[in-house]
Amino acid sequence: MIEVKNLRKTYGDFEALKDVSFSVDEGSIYCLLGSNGAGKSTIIKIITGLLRASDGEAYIDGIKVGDNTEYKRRFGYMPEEPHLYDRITGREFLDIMGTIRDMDEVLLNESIEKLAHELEITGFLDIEMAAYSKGMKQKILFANAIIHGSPNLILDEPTSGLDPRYTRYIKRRLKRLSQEGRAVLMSTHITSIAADISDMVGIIHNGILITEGTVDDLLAITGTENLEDAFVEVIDGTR
Amino acid sequence: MGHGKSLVMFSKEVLGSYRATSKRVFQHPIMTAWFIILLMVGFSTVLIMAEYVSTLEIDFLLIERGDILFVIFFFFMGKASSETMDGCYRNNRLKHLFTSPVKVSDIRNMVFLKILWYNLLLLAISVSLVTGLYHLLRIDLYIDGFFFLHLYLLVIAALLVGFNMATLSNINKKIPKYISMGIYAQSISLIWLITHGNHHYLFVSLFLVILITLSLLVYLSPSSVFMDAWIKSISGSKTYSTRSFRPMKFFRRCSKKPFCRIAEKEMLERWRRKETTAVLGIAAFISMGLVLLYYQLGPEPDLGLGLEEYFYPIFIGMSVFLAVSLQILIPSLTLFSREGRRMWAIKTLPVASEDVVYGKLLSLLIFTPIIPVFIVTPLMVLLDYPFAYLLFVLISSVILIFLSSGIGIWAAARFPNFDDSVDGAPDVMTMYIVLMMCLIISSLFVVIPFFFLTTDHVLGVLFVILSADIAALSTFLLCSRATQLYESMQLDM
Repeated sequence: MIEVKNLRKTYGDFEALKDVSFSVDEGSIYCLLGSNGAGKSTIIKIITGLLRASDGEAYIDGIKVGDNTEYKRRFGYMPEEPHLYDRITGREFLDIMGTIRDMDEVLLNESIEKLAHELEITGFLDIEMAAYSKGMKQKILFANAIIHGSPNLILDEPTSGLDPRYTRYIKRRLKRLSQEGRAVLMSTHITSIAADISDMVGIIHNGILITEGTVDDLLAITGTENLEDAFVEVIDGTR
Repeated sequence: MGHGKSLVMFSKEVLGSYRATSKRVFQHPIMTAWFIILLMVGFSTVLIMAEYVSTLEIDFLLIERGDILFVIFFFFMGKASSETMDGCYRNNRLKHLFTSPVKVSDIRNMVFLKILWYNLLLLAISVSLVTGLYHLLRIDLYIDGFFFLHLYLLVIAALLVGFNMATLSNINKKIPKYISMGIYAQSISLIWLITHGNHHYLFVSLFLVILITLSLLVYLSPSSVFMDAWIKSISGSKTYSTRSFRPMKFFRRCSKKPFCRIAEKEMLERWRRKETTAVLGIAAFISMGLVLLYYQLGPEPDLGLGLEEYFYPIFIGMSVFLAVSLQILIPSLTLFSREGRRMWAIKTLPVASEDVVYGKLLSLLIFTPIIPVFIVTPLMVLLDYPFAYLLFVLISSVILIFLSSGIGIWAAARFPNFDDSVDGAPDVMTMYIVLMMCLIISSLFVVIPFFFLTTDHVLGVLFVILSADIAALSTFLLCSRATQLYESMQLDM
C-alpha cells in the first residue's frame, strides 16, 4: 500500500506540489494523469526517496519514506528516462540489482531468463547496454522493477518508447500483477492507458491533485464519454 | 552572414561557460581563493626548480628551451584533440545544429573558436602569472622575447594540429584516414626538429607561420569531411563487449554483502572502460622510469645540496604520488558525478548509503597493492637500502593511498559535477585543489616519522605505523562525511 499525505515541494518561490494526498490500495492500479510538468514525476521521486518533500509524508506499507532503507525493499521502480549503465550488460545489471535485494541466485537466474524471453530481449542480454535502443532499455527497466516481486510497483511513464505490442504486454502484465495483490502507482499523460487499466485515476495539474476517482466517476462528474474529454474538461475547469 | 552565425553560436557557448564558471565561483568563494593561491605556489615551485636545475651540471636533468616548447606544444595538441572529441565528435547534441539551417563550416568554426579562445585565455593567464612571479621571486633564468613569440605561435599550431588530427581520425574510409593521418602527423616531427635544432629565431618563426598556414588549409578542407567525420563518430558501427570479467566470479564467492555488489558494478565498469589495464600500465611505466633513472644517475647523484642519500626516496615518493593520483585520487573524484542521472538505480535499492560509499571505495582500492609492489620495491632493492627504509617507504605509500582515497571520496561527494557534457569528470579547480591538498597533508603525515627515521630506524618505523593508523582513521571519518553528503544528494534533474 502506498500513501501520500499533504505533500508539498517548493523550489524557492515556485511551488511544484501543493498539498497532495492520495493512497494506492493493495491489488489496485492508480494512475496519476497530468500534462507535462504537472508534478507527476516529482510525486514519484518523493515516494521513491529520490527527492525530499518540503512538507508532508509518504508511506510504503506503513513505513515512512526516508526513515531507513527498509521501505526500499517494499517497491520496484521504473524511472521515466532510461538512464542505464552503458558499460555493463543487461544480464549483469539485473543480476547485481537482484542480488542486492537478497534474491536467491538460482531463482534470480531463472527469473531473468523468463522475463527476457517474455520481453524478447534474450539475444541482447549479454551485450553492453550502450548498444540498446530506447525500447530495449525500457524493457530492462520494466524487468528490473518487477523481477524481485516487491508488493508495490511505482512506474513513471512505463510505456514511453515502447511499440504498441509491448504497450499492450505491459498493460496486461500490470493488470495481472494487481490481481496478484500488488499496489501499482503509475504516471502517464496517455489517457487511453489510464482508461484501460486503472482502478483509480488522479488528475494533477500545476502541482495540485484536482480530482480523483474511478474512470466511471470521472466521466460522470464531467459529463463526458471518454477519459480524454474528462481530462480536458477538468483541466479547462481550473482556468 | 555565414561567419556571423558561427560567431553568434560561439558567443552563446562562451556565455554559457562564463555563467557556469561564475556560478561555481560564487558557490565556493573560499575554494576559488584557495585555488588561486595553490596555482601561484605551483608556478613558483616550478620556476624555482627550473632555476635550480639550470645550475646543476647533470645532462640527464638539463631541460632546454626546445624541450619546454615541445612539451607545451604536445600538451596543447593533446588537449585540443581531446576537447574536439568531447565537444564535437562525441557530442550528440550537435545534431540540433546539423539539422538547422546553418552551414556545416559555421558549426566547425564555432567548435574550433571555442577551443582556440579557451586555450589562448589559459595560456595568457599562465604566462602573466609566470611573468609576475618571475620578477617577484627574482628568478635567475634568461628568457628572451622570441621565446614568447614562439610559444604563442606553437600553441596556435598545436590547437590546429589537435583539431585536425581529431577530425582525420574520424574519417569514415580507412585508407584515406590512415594516409592523411600519416602525412599530417609529420607536422609533429617537424615541430620537434625545429624546436631542437640550432636554428635562427626568425627561421623558427617563419617555419611556424608556414605550418599554421598549412594546418589552416587542412582545417578548411571541404565541410563534407567534417560532417562525415561527425556522422561516423556519432552513429558509426561500434563494438560492444560481451566478455565476462572472470575475477568477478571469485570476488562474488568471497562475499555476498551489498557493498561488495556495489564494488562489483564499479569494477565491471572500470574493466570495460579499460581503466584496469591503464592502472597496470601506469604502474609498470613508472617503475621502469625509476629503474632507468637509477642506471642513468648512479646510486648517489651529486646535486650539491647534501641530499644525495634522500634523492631516490624523494623520487620514489613523487612517483608514488603520481601513481596514486592517477589511479585513485582522480578516479575517486568521479565516483558520484559519473552516476549522474543513473543514480536512481542505486538510490532506490535497499542498501545503506555507507555501503554505497564503501563499495565504491573498495573498487578503487582493490588494485592499490600494485603501487607499493611495483613502484617502491624494485628501486629500493636495487639501491640496497636498509630494510627499515624499505618498510618506511612502503608504509608511507599506504598512508598516501589512505589519504588520497579518503580526500577523493569526500571531495567527490562535496563537489559533484553533474554536467552532462563531461560525463562526471571533475572541474579543473576541484581537481587541482584536491591534488595539492592531498600532497600537502600526506607530506605532513610522513615528515615527522621521517625525522625520527634519520636518528633511529626502529622509532621511525614505529612513528610511520602510527601515522598510517591516523591516516586510516582520517579516511574512515572522511568516508563517514561522504556518506552523509551522498545521502543528502537528490535526483533533481
